[in-house]
Amino acid sequence: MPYTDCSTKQWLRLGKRFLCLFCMAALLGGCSLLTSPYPGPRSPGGTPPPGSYPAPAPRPVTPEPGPAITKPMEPPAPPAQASPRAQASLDITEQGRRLLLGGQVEEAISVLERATGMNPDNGEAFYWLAEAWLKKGNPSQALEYHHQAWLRLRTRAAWGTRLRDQRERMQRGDR
Amino acid sequence: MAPRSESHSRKTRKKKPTPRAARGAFKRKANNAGFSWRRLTIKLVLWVLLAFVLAGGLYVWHLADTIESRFAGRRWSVPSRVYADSMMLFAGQTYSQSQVLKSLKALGYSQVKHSSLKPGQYRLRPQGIDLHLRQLALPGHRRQAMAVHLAFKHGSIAGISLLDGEGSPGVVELEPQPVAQFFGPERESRILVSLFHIPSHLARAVLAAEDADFYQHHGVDLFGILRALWVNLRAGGIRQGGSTITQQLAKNYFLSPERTIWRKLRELIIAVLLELKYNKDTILEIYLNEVYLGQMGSVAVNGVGEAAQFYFGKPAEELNAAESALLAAVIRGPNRYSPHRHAKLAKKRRDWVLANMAKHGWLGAAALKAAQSAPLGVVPYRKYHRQAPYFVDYVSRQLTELYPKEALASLGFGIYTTLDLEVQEAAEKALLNGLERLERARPKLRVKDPAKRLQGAIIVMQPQTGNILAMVGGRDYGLSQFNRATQAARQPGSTFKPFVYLAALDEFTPASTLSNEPREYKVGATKWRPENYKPYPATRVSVRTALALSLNIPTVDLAMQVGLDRVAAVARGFGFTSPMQPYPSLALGSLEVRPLELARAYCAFAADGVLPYPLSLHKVADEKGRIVHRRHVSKESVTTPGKAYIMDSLLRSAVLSGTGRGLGRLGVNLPMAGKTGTTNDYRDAWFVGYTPDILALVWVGFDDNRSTGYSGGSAALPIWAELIKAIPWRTSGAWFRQPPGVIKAWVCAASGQAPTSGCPQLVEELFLESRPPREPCQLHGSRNPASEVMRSIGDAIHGLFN
Repeated sequence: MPYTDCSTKQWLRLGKRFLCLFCMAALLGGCSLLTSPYPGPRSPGGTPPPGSYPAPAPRPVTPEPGPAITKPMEPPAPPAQASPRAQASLDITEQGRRLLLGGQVEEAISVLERATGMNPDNGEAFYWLAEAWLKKGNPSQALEYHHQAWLRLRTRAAWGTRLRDQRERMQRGDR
Repeated sequence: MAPRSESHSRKTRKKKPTPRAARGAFKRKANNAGFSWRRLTIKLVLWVLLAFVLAGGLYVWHLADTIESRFAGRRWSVPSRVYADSMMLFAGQTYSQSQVLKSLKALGYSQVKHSSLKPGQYRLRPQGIDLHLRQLALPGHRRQAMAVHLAFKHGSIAGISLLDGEGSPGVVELEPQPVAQFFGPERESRILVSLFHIPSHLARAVLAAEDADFYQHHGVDLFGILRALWVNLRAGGIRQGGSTITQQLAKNYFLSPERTIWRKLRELIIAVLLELKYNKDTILEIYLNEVYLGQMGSVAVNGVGEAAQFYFGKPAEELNAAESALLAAVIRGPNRYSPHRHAKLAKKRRDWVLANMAKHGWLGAAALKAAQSAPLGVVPYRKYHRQAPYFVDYVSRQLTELYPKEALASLGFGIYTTLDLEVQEAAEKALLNGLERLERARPKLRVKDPAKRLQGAIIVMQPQTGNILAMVGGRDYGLSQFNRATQAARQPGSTFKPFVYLAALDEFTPASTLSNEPREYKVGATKWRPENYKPYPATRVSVRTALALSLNIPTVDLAMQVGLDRVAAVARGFGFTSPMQPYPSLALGSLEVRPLELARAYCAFAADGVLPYPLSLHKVADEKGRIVHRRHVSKESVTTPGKAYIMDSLLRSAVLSGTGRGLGRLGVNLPMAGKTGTTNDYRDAWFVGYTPDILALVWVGFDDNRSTGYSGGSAALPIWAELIKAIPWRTSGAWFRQPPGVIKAWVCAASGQAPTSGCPQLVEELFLESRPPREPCQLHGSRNPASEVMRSIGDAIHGLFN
């Protein structure tokens, strides 16, 4: 039901629900602080987790606010503090992107593949690989790369719109 | 007029001869008979001469046609070359100065002391290297030559900066190293050069040594022939040839090596024809590419391009005057003037060539002095040998599906592969060391027959791309060309278990418990009773522990609960092609796999559940650098990123606290996952280990299935450790990013179920979001009131939005 059609009674009911939710959340927080006898999860530092202690939780899935529309072929700024390897991989990705823009799809794919080999966490390289395979007319490979790009870039606001746009173009069968 | 003369002639013919006239006629007849013999002889001679001229003309025409047909098409058989992947250098890379220097030497960069560097030169500085990179002209992309400074700190590249200007060039790509060549039956190695790209002193040195008047004569130097004739007459035998460069080319290209007058004549004719047909520059260029200049083992060094690499380890374009003169000196007798064998003789002749260059005004006095005082500067002699021979064979098999062998041996393709030569070298060394170590520790493994020795195989891959970085198919290619990495069908043993556990992840979690109580399974008419490799006391174990410790009893229990058909289906999805019988022993790896199949299947765990196609060949380019064949990474999703991540975590436990824990003692402290494998009677020892960046598989065993007496953890794992420690720049130290669809929760350590207040020990465990731990602990029944409150709050929140 759209909110604009809500009567006062309905608004009150909704308000009560949120109040109740707030109280429960406060209680939950308090209980966990007071009653939990267990050690908390390992701090999400830079060190990798041991086997029985899985990796730290990723950043929140909710996309951060970002520019509403960006041109699809312009890369957003890379994240700050990339490791040297990650930075080198981004440099190569940029070469690949330029080749792709210049219409050299085959060479762009080779260069971007090198970037993913150098840093498998480089979501941008996967994104541009998806673009390249789309251009090349192979939607199934494009989808594989799109999915891998999404896994890595989904928490980066600047890429959210871009990924959605790419997905839509794939569904439409655009190149 | 005509009828009158006709009647007159008729009259003359009818006139009867008088006796005197008859006598005269007889005399004339006799005289006529003598004259006709002479004429006949002359005629005969003329005919014979004409025939000779015709035959000669025909022969010359035939020779001209031969020259035309040889030179119009391909002039040489140029073997195709296989290249490793280019090395990329970047700031922050764990790549030491000595490793960079090793790469530069292998690429033929020469060390100098002066600061004005030319492409192909480097200079050592207190904190690094000044390097003038050559122009990079690879199929598909080019880079201009540039001078950079590489700074090093603590065994890493601290920074890369441009020498001429501000800023950093970013990632620096080195030229790909040649690995092997595909020769034809003549086994000639040749790198074609263009006369206009080689330094002028190289061409002039060759002229000074062999034919200084080349640009003046017309193919044959009569004065030279007379001089040689005089010398030979005085010596009573053939001591000197008066051959011009054109004649030498005619001889080398078209004629057999015997010394006869007839062959010399043909040589002269061909030389003249060549000069008529082609200009001087073309002839000189053909000669420079044709001339025989030495032997590297069973392979002939032909042409100055190949010789520059063979003697100086660099391209002909970079030769200086002294080096050019040495190449020119060697032409007269590659064996007699070999700088490797007869350095003094070679230097003497080189200096003579230099002096000759100066005599013709091609070298100044100062340059002559400097060049004559320069050392020979040759790189050590090396026989041709294929590097990474098993890998090259593997690539070669793929190439022969694309091109006939003859084309590969003659068309001069550039074959660009995924091979990382340094990883390959580290893998070969680790395998040899490892196998020798095992034989030393257990001498009964040593056998005299080389064909029956303990063997091994290594495959190193990039999980994301499927690129094969290294491949070792045995301990000695010379003795056995059987590629165990790609061709051996072996039982994978416990390295197969992860696929059983993956198949179970829809119903089981890492915290689920499995039975560890021995039980019998009916297989047809017989009974089979799996046992653990080592006794394990608990009757129930978690999925994580069972896989980490590679316990057989719970694994078979799990496989039977999941269904063997499902396990087989999952395995097929991961690319295993051999037949799988639905017997309980399948869970313990009783099928046969090729090591490459196994390595590839593990790549999917390391790459978000995406299975890559094993890639070894990137590009094939023709002689002119045009790409004629290209391959890209090809991949397909075989499981979810969530499941792959849980498998990474389970296999991480195997390395930290399970059968692979020896890695820590061996100094490998990387965040990594892995699995050991040992088959019945210790026939096969396996270890597959990986990080997000790299995956390596090691197999050890005998070809004839004898027992090695070693487990995967004791035989294959130390080899893996040695390999991975030798290539630190290939690993980033990062672990996998937790994908969506995976959550963490605390569970009872004993039951693996949601904790209650009675649970004495809890562990944090990974779960698929679709399968969180809901059931409360059945072992430690009573519930915590606080948990009850929280649970009801949770249910209330859930209800609110429903």
